[in-house]
Amino acid sequence: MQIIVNGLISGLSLALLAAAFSVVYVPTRVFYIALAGIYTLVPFVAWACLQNLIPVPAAVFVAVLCGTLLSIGCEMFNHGPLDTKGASSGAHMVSSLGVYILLSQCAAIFWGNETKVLRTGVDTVSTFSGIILTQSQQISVVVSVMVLTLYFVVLHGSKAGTRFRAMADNATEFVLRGHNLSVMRIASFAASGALCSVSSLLVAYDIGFDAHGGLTAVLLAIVGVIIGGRKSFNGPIIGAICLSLIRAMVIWVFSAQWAEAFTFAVLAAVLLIRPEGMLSFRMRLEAAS
Amino acid sequence: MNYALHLMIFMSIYGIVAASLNIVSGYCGLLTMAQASYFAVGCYTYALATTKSGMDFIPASLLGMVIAGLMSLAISVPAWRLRGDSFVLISLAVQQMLFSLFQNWTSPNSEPGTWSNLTNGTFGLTNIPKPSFFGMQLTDIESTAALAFGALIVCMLLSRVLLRSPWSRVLQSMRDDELVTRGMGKNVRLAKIQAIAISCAMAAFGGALYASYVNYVDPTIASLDESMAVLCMVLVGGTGNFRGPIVGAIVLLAIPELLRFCAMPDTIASNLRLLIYGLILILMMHFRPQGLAGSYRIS
Amino acid sequence: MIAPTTTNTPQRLQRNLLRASGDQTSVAQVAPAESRPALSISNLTKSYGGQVVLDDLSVGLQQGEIVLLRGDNGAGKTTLINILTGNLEPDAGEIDIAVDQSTESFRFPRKWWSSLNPFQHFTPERLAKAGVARMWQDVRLLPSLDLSDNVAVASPEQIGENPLWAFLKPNAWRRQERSISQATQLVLADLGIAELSNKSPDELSLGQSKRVAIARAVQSGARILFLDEPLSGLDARGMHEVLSLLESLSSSGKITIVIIEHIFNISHIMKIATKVWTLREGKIFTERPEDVRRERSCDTDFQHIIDRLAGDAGAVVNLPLVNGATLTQVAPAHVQDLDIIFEVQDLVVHRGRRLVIGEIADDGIRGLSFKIARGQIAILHAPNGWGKTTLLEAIAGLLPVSSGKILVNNRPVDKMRPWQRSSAGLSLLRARDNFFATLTVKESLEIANNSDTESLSCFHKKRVSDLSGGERQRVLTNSVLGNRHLTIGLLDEPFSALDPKRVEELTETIMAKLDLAGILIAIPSTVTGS
Repeated sequence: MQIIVNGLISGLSLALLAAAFSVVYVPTRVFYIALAGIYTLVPFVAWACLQNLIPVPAAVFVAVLCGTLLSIGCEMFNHGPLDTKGASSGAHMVSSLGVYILLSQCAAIFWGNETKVLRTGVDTVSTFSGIILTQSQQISVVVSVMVLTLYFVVLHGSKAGTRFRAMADNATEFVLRGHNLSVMRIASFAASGALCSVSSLLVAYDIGFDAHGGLTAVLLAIVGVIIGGRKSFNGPIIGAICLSLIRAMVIWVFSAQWAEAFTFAVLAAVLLIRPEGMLSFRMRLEAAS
Repeated sequence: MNYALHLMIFMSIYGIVAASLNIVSGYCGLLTMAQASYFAVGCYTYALATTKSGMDFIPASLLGMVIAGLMSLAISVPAWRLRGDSFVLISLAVQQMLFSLFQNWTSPNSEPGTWSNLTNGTFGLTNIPKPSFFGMQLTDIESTAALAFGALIVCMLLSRVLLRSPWSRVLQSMRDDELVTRGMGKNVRLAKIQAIAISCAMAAFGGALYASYVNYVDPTIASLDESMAVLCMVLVGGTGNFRGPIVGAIVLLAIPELLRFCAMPDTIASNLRLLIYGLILILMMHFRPQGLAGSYRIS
Repeated sequence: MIAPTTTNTPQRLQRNLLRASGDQTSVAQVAPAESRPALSISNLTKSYGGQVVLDDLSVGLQQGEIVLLRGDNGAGKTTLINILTGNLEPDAGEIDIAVDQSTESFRFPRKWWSSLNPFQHFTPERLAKAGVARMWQDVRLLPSLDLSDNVAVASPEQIGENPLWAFLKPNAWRRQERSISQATQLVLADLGIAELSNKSPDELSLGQSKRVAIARAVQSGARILFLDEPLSGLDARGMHEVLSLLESLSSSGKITIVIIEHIFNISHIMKIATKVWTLREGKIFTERPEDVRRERSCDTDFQHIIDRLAGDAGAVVNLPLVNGATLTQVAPAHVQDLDIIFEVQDLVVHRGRRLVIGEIADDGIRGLSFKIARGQIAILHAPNGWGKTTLLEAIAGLLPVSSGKILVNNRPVDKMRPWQRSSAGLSLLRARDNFFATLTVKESLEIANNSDTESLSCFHKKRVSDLSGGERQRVLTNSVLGNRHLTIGLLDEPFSALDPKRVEELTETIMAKLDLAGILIAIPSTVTGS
């Protein structure tokens, strides 16, 4: 039971990251690996703020703002111009990879390669009907659930959310109906940056961070996205949580060293058997005859 | 002098690996992240074959090539159905699984190289012998450099023949439009298996050379960073013709050496090297998507 | 893959070449005269999501025939051709193809275990080896190969296609390669484009690329050739070139040709067709070309619409445009003063390097010009492939314009991004891919900035993708013409695949919007000068 709860909690923060990835991938088809760079950099910013005795809420705010701005920068200076040139999806992916390498190496050069912690002192532990939860886990649950709820409400209950889904559905038609695609793209990158920053801070607060963990985390989130269905906004969240549970089980039954192999075996299986994702359904459309 | 020879050996080895990746990325249009894993397959096979059964360079590297060729089915069969992002992901999955295998096929109770401790985990395999031919061992760096450079030339010639043959025409046609190519009666599935197997075998040969030169292998050579470095070489040099990857390998290996001349401290130099790789990738995609000397834009 | 022995390849190549160049006497020696059907289909059934497209269809094809396959939009022509070229599996039925002495048979539905077989038997490559080839509607030459390689790659059984032989038998494949390249040179010379053999296919005109695609199919050893709209988008000269190539191919008696053609080009195909297949309600009706020739092609639908739009006292003006298109401008009776709200001046549009809108005149390229006034409906009749969609998309800002001006309310919009044009009053409904499949109707109307959200409220809760074709067209037209800023509405083939009742309804909808705006409708038409 403890294992399932732990898996669920790490699944929630992974779900944030998966949402961050798909919020860009679904509408723009940009394979946004640069997210890993933002994921790497944000805790360093928060850490630097804390070192300079800036209070915690302000540090968190600065870090999330920084992640959001970085993500907007990625769109304005990298993916936007590439899109205008009509670059292929491969070019987007490769340049995004370049941005990731750039950001994570910047972090390493400025702040060093060693692991750091955001939290000072030992985590306090509380027990709920036999299940042990640390304080950072409790924070993680509360924040992730809040952010995910907000994400869901905005997406399905607001005008901005409708526009967002419309852009994801048919970008050309969206443009023809008089909506500014550039602005919407920037908005989606901003949302992605913010979601990613929150996820990164939660994980960093719990287990610490270094300059090299970003890609692993984002790859894991991408696996979650693939499992949940890469064409939907909600599938990836469920996919990421499932993936975390599966990993927790693998670690429990076998050992931690095989968790990666198992994760990617799941990815391969999903790609081969159900490339559209386990949780997505095929849209019924009139066949193009 | 030794420094120049050392550089030449590395450029030859990476030139071979980049050229092998070009067959898949440039001619089949499939970006693969698993090339370093097959390179590592070559390394480990060479290491085990030479240390455990005392094979010569040629049979040991051939064995590595055959094993890598067979293991390439893990990415070529999925490539029947998947392309673009999905193929990148499946190659990533294969890379991660092979990496786990190299890292975890170990048990503390047995000797390195035995069945239960095949790879010796993160410690790697040591004391790999220098290349030997019919009992004659090349111990000095000059002859190793000659071997590596010769191997590069041979690989270049072979890939040149292959990439100018009707086979490569089928590959390019498949890359442009798979359905049309099938409609001309070409067996594209077989072509994919062939191309990826040849490419992986070539990478494994590079791996055997590497293992015989540095005398030591550990799982980091199969890591994602390594795959990305090779991918950088091909993307920077350019895909779709046979000289691009060599240009890429030379350029990307020259950068850290230049940094060394700038008297950069070692810790920063390695980060800075990667930073420059990243920057080059971004600039490349914006201003020269076909690479420095390439003829095909990745899709 | 089994490489053939080197001795018989030159003969095979010679045969290919002769076939391609249409040398009748030599081919006659090779081709055995026989009356065995080249292809026979029995009880073929295919349905998509409950909708039956092909219903227990049986038909046979004799060697050397030229068959015209016709049918309404959505009758299943493309589905049938997809099945017969191995790109789509039928639900049930049998397909037999004559190969040299034997017959290649495919039966459906297949047993469950054969679906586990990764080397599926019913694939495009298998059918191509049996002698079936296809020319795609959008031609699909290979962009990164030059023209001679585009043809050469199709040659069957090349030794060097096996990487092992490419290594070990360099002389054998180089010899073969030389004869293949001679053959392709001759083929290209036959098509009159020998000097372009090292050029990329995007430098060809559409007519030339269609002929190269046909030559490629012939080079691949095809005996049954499926051509998907080979004449669409061609001018009179291009049509003549393609038709004479087809005629010379079939006169060898070796190649069987099935042509899908759009209704408006059928009269051209009838010059060479020996049989007509009409696809209706999932069945094929075989007719003789003489009977079909007597049928009058009916353009009355649109004439009827035009009459209705004009009313009794309305004015109808026919304005000829470049490349054989016509703009019919209809001003209903109450439109008196011509208040020009939309103007296109000397517009030239390229797609890639190909000139699509505009024609080459003595003093450079002459562009397209026309005007539309408030309350007017302009109907652009142009043949399929003329570039109607390209024109409309260029006006809406989805495609770049090479030169010329677009004015809405006397304000130039050509520098604006598409969404700015929409706010300036331009509103385009595309012919395809024109709705948000995952959104409900209400959300779609919101996205379209629709001022009137009350009408159509019966559909609000439904998803757009769940509507029937007619309902959807009504909703879309309403939402596009309901744009708050509407000045000029552009509709790309709005009436296609609708029954007369729906066309009537849609006409009502369009006319209701005419008070404030002008409407430009693009519809396919016959080629002038036929």
